[in-house]
This record gives sequence, C-alpha cells and structure tokens, in this order.
Amino acid sequence: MCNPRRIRVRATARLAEAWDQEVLRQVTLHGAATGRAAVREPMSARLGAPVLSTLDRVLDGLEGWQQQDDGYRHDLDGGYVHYHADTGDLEIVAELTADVQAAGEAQTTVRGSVQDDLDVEGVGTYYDDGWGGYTEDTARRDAQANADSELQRARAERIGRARADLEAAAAGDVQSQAEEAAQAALANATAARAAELDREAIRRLTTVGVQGRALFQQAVGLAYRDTILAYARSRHAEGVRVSGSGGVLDIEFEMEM
Amino acid sequence: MRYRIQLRIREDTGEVELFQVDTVGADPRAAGHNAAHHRVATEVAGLLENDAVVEEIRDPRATQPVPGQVYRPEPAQVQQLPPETHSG
Repeated sequence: MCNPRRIRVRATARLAEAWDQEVLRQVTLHGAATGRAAVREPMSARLGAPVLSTLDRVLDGLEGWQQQDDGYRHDLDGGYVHYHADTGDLEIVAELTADVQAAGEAQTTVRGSVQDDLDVEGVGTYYDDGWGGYTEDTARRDAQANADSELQRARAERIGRARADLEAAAAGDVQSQAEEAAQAALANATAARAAELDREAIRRLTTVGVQGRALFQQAVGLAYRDTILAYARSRHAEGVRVSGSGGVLDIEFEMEM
Repeated sequence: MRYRIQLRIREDTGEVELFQVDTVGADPRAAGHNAAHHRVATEVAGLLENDAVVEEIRDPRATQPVPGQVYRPEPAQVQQLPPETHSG
C-alpha cells in the first residue's frame, strides 16, 4: 500500500424551482369570565345614626372584615358583602369566575421560487497498487457519486432555506391574523360564559345574602352594645352591668332624666 | 324620673332579644308620667334603630296596664314582663 491518491469531480446544475407554500398559524388564548349579581340595601334607613357611626370602629379589625375603598368587605363562598360607610349601604354580591379558552387560526398560501447555479465537488480515493480494490476507476465512480450526492444535498439545502425565508416573511402577518382571530373568539366565549355565570350568580344571590346579612348583623350587635354603653356614659348612668353567658350579652343601667 | 334600661343581644346573630325601659320608684299616676316614659324609651330605642316602635307592656295578669316600655326590633320578639319588674 502506498499513499492514497484522490480524484476530484466537479458537478454543476442550474436550480430553478417554484412552488406554492402554505403558511399556517394557530393561537390559543386563556382568559377568565366573571358573572355577578348584586343588591344594595340602605342600612341608614333602619339603623340609628349612633349605631352607623359606631359601625366603622366595630368593623375595623373585626375578624374577616377588610377595609376597602369607602368601607369594609367580608369575602364569602361565591361572593362577598361590602358595607359602604359613606352611604350606609350594605352591598351583597354573588360573584363567580370561570376559566375560558379559545383558539384562532389563520393561513395563507405564498408563491415561492428559487433560482441558483449549484457547483459542487466529489472526491474519490484510490491506491496505485489497487490496494483494497480501490483503483482509479473505482475512485472516479466514487467521486462522481459523491458529486451527485452533494448536488442533491445542495439543492435540498437551497430549497429548504428559501422555504424557511418565505415562511419567516409571511409568518408575521399570519401570526397577527391568528392572534386577532383568537382574541375575537376569546371575547365571544368570555361574553357567553359571563352571561351564564350572571344567571348562576342571580340564583346564588339569595344564599350569599343570607350569609352576608348574618355576618353584618353580628357586627351590628356589637355596634348596639357600644352605642348603648356610650349613651349610658354620656348620661352618667349608674349601676352599669355588662354580662355575657349562653351566647347572649346583657346590659343594664339606670339613669335620671 | 329614674329609668332602668335593659338590653339583651344575641352574640351570634346580633339580634336584640330584649330592650326594656322601666321607670324606677315613680308614681305612674303622676301627671305626664306616661308621656315622659314614652319619650325616654323612644329616645333610647332610636339610638339603635330608626322608626323603632315602642309599646307599653301589658301584664296579662293585671287589670291595669303596666307601663314598662319595650322596643321591638325586627324580628319582633314578644317581651314577657319579668314578675319582679316594678313600674313607677
């Protein structure tokens, strides 16, 4: 065996291809729909002014009540109750939320083409003494085969690059159209689900109202207590007794009028 | 006049179970007694609720009205007059 020798074969081809290429984009969006039903009840029509002015202090720090905006809110299962201190209104709200998902897609067909001159080289190896059966003839065949194979590879690579460039050029618009379609679909799905949830919220408002009024009335009971004791102090009442047992609070005092 | 005020509140519901204003040691036959009693009961009840309805308690065993004043919040709770209550 001596040093290997190489035969190089050059191959050229004119590449001229055209095709129709489909560009497709699908977008899925997630959102949330909310249904709501509410009723406002004017507590100022029922409760005395001293009780209303005491309620603020009672609700501030009372377990479960959070200061919010113009008053205090207590969250409930499926809603909340909000006492608006500025108006004296009790707002009872049934609120339901659900996840919403919608998809949109867009597609377009673009015309692609590529024209190029391909120029490649194939190499074959042989030995002067024909070692291993590698002769000049086999090397020439190998070089030609390699050149043909390289030509195919270059052609596929050139077309693939052209298709990718075409896809990238068209994708922006198609993606935008798909997103617009998805947003429109999501808006429709959200509105439809919200309408269902609104109807369900109306049905639940009674239950939420019972819970909300009961919680508020507990606070009112404390405001009654504080109001009457403040009144007793202002009247210099005597024998003030406050006692609690069995879940009831008894207050008693005497005063001169 | 001297008045005794009694208030009983249910802690779990905030409901007023008892609200009673009695006169202490006063003569119910004195002039203006009932009017003054009603005015004071109304004033105290009005601290808690607007338009509180103040009623005179009548002891079913007595032939004469027993002029205790009771405020009836909603839900109305029938107020039984304790036997030891003295009205003026």
